[in-house]
Amino acid sequence: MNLLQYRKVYIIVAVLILLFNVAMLATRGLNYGVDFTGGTTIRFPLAKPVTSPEVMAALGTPELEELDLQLAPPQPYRYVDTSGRQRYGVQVQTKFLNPEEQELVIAALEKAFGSAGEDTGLEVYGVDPLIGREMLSKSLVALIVAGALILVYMAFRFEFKSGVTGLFALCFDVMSVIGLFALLQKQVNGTFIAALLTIIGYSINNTIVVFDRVRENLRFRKKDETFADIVNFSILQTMRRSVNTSATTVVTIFLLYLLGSASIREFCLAMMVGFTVGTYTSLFIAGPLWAIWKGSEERKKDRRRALAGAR
Amino acid sequence: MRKDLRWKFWATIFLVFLCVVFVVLPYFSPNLKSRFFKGQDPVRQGLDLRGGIEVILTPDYRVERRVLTGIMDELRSAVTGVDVASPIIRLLGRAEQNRHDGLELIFTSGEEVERVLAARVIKPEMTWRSGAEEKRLKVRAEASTERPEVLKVFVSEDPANFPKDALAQARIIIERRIDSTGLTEPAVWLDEANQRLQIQLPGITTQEEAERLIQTTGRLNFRLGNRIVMFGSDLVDARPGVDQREGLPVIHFKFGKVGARQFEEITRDNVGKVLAIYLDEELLMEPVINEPIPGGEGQITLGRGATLKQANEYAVLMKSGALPVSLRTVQITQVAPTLGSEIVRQSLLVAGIGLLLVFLFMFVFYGVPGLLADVALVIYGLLVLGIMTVFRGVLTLPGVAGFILSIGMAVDANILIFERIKDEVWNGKTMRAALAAGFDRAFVAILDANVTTLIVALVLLILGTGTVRGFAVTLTIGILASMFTALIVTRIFMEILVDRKPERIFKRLGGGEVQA
Repeated sequence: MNLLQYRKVYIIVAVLILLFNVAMLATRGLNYGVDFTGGTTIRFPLAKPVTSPEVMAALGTPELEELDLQLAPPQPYRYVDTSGRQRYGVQVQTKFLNPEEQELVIAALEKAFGSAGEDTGLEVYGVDPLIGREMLSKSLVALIVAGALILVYMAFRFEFKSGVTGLFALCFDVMSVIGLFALLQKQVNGTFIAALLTIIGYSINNTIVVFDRVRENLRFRKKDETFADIVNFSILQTMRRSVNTSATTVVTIFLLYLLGSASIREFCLAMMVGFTVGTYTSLFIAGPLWAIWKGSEERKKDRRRALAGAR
Repeated sequence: MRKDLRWKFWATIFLVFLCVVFVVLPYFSPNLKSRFFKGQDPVRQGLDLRGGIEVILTPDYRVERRVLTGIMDELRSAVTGVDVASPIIRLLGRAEQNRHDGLELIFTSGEEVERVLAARVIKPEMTWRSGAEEKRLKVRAEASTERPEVLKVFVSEDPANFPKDALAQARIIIERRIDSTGLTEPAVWLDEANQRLQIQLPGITTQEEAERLIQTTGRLNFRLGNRIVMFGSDLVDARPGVDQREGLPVIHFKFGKVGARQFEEITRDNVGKVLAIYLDEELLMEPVINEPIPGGEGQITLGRGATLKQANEYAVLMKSGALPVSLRTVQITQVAPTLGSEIVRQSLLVAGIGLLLVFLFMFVFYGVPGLLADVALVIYGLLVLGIMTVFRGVLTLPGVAGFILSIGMAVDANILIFERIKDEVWNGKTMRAALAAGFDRAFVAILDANVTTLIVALVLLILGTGTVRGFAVTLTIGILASMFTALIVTRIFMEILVDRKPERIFKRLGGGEVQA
């Protein structure tokens, strides 16, 4: 089977998808969570479901108006807990509240919908805008540093070209997840960055397994074999392993997605998409791209050698 | 059994035994728990799993309203020197604990604002004095983007007004205060580089409680009228007690040498007046000076209806209130304890189902060796928990995610190895040779793959903040442990098996003739 027959098609499609994702990011932008913008998120548990306007009304008291809460539309949510009970709640997002203001908002919610009490799932997360900006820049630095170090390591263990192709595959994976989150306007927060970095780790893992095979097979290369033949052979050899591994991991994360609470779902979504895309890229982007690049280089060398021989 | 295999096998068994005794058994035996971990769980749970409140504080360099009103006139005369009409001056930003971001000067036109800025009459540094106080201020003027006729003047205290180790002192004070409440396992961390103080209060469920412990810790000050006449930094002791004659709760206090002299002067000159006691801008008490207090020792009698508990609270506030710098909250995380335990149950459920799936998968695809890999996986899990316990790591929700993820990576290493062995057998090697070659070849791939993931994990560990770091810790431990189990433990088991019954292993991993 020759997987690399259409290698140029894979890369063109990949570049188109990449451009689509960049366009998504550019036009729609990301829905940054309080981690990066600063603000307070309150997840308030409820005995029965409510609607967003009801919550808006409950928070419309003159006392709270004065605080200028900058309230985003409240989002009701529901889930089934491990004991099988249906739970309800509402997520309220405001500007960053200091502890006193936070108590006021919770008191207003308690007054309208009953006490959150002891035995419930109240959750509050507040970040000062100052810290938010810092977190965003730190996260970007983490992504870039991780990428650069991976490039260096791969260039050292394999060759520079494989490092670059591996990095391209990584950018593709990361952009796919970012593009999807921009498209769906899902919230981007600190755990999203953790998810991205894990995807990077996992995807590079897959790519390296393929490249490792290529490195090994090159040692037993026959005269008439092109570089693309070797890459093709290596991909076929490692395909079952890649699919097996990714399938088990994605299934585990899918479980976490199904059973997990709302706060962990977006993390799982990012991981599932990233891992699936990552498996695809390691097989159909990283390898073929390396084959194209290296192949053209080898052809050039051959031509030069042929010319020299003719003379 | 071969000799080298024998000791390796027993070493592994011993390691597993250690982990079980040290990590697993304490969960079931309170006796072991108290012996090894002072009664706590072997692997400590993070705040998001146990519930509680975490706040991050940073020095509050914004200035009080009285300071801002104090410098208004100075600012006004500075700007009117540049031939502009006298501006309307208002406080800038929202009041928080009576502190503001600065002042806003409202002129009649944007052109006037530009003229003031161009003339540089607003100096970047100012000094404000009142009574015993002197403050150096940092000033930054900036034209408002929304309204051109408004000049925003941001005013903050010069950090040089405070001692260099102010935050470290604050940390000690807050720690002492939290300890006095008997809260289990509170934690206070100081991030010197970023000037942050991170405080975890497990088990606390309302901001009110948390606030009592930290938020009110301001600078203790004494005021006559509206003027600060003395700071409480020289207060040595404050204790609750009961007045002998009237049976009312009192607070005994004691100043150091310098404070005693100062206090004597103030009380001598102001008998009959109210000496208000403030924490920062918050009024604590308003006692009347009955008589001059020499020697720095005295008592404050609380009014009728006051309880001893109240006296105690005030005493604690006065004593620990002598914070060298005021703090403001920049991050709050609050999780209800029941929510935390629900998340733990959820994660355990998912981890359980996930593991079961992986076990089944390995057995169906790889037969007996798959089963061996499953055993290695269990050992891997124990090892991770063991390492977490030894280093007293804290398991958080992202940490659990990292753990579940590294299970995937541990399985992957095993799959890689088995696929390689299969290949080698197909190439016509004997089982024993295939085993050795398979492990050796897979080793390179596993090493490269894990090192890159490790790079990512370490970057997260160093550059990440809070939650991300918890994830990185378990990921790092997980990667190391998975390499160990896949490359060493699985190999020991496989070699023992090949030594004894090569045909069993062969059935699934290869084909053709059986060659031991």
